[in-house]
Amino acid sequence: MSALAVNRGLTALLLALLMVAPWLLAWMESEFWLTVLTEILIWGLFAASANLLFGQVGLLSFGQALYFGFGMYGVAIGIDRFGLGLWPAMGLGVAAAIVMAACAGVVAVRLTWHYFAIITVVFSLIFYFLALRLKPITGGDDGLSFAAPAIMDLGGLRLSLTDDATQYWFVLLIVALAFAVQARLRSSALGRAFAAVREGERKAALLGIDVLRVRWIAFVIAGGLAGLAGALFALYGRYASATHMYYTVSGEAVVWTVLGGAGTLLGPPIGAALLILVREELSGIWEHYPLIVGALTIAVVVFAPKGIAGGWNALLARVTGR
Amino acid sequence: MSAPLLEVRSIAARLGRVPVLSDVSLSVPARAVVALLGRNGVGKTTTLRTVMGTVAATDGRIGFAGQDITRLAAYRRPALGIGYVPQGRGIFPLLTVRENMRLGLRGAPDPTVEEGLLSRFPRLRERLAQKAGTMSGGEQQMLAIARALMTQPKLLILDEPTEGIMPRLVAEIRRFIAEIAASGIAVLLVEQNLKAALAIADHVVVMERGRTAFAGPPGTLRADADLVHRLLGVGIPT
Repeated sequence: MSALAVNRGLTALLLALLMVAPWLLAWMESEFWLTVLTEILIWGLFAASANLLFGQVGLLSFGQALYFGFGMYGVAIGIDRFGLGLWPAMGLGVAAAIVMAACAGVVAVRLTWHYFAIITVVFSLIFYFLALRLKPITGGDDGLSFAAPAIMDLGGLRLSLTDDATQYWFVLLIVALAFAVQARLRSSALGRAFAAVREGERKAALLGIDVLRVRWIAFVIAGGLAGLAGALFALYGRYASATHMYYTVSGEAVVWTVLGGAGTLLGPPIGAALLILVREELSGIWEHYPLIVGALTIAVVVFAPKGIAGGWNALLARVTGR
Repeated sequence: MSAPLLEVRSIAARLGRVPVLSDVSLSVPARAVVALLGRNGVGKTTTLRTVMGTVAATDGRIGFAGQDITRLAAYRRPALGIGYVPQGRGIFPLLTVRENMRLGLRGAPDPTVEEGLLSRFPRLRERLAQKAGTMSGGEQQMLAIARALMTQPKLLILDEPTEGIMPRLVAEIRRFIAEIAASGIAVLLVEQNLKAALAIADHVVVMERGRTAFAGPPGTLRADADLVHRLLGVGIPT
């Protein structure tokens, strides 16, 4: 059996387990973990945004929280201020993140390495402080709370986020679709151009690839993914806050990506899952649990530089001889 | 010769502050093979890079298919019909052979072209899903040439395609370059092996210290042993 077939089988198994998770957890009388799993899915999508830039195009961004925040505020303002339904509000959040990324990207993609990382932090900080100042729009320090509209309301059929299982399946559906689109993107001409730019800009240009344009497209798509994650997180918490626009939130996505395996499709959500589970298990026992997170990250970087998924793929390649 | 496909007129170029090219002129007619020769360090690779746009021409003019491309961005030149196989091959080692082959394409690959290249290079077909960096130097060179041909260029530029290749593959690569030329694609070739270059070229350009020192048919160069010795430091190949 080839490594690809094994990974496809495992992905299908993971998806099947995620689909039945609400019933499994109810049977195990562990419903609390369903909300944790929902959060993992959302942060996994956010990590995918950092991974698209770092793992696929080679741009290390510490500013993805900015677009996450735009997604959050888009939903919150759309519902609370404009009275929009769930889907239009989500559309507003994602569109706001994409527009912001399109504008910031024009400047950011002209820079590389630490200059790129710094400019992404600068953009993030500017809008973080703006969000705190613009209290009439963003709620300032208090943030914006809202009641989530129904997912669907067709006569007798009403699906609402107030039911944890329904909320979980709603998030799972959106996240699974987002990952399916990413998988398709990786095998497309654009995905190959991303990889070429990551591996060598000059070589890529000599093949007719417009490096700046490709980087900008990746920046905008990554902004859209972060915005979608932010929109889901706002609906999950019925709340939007500037706290989640701070650059340290972006840093977490980078850590999840590196830990899980930069450049792989499912590595970043695996990294996010691992560290969120560590947080959930240890934060109540030991307040300095981030030390364990740090030690775990250092261990992975030293012993498995390609992250968990990268290490797994190497092992699988050795076992299957491919 | 017919009207030139590529026409380089008196170009100059610098690498940083160092002037490398001062007066280089050459023409590549459609369907012709032009060999660019010269000792190490005379500016052959810089000339090719200037044609491809990764080194800016500070003077002179570069025309391709009747269009002035002197100031055209590097990434726009391949779309005009220029394929380039750089020195060191320029493959992407972490991508698979298949991904490397399709990198320069804007849309879906032409199955006839791809199939034709894989038939010509069965080694590539056997390694389609393999990371390109794990292949031998000769196989990587075949990949680099195949990748350049995937876009069906009018002109193929090759910078020392047999450098660092094991001898049994050198002959195969040279045979394939001759086939490319016979198929009607113009070729501009930098080649260290004078005998191989003279055997394949319709026209020869020899550079000396950043300038064109000789341009003419291979027979004219072959007939002047003193010139060959002065410009290339070798004797006439037998």
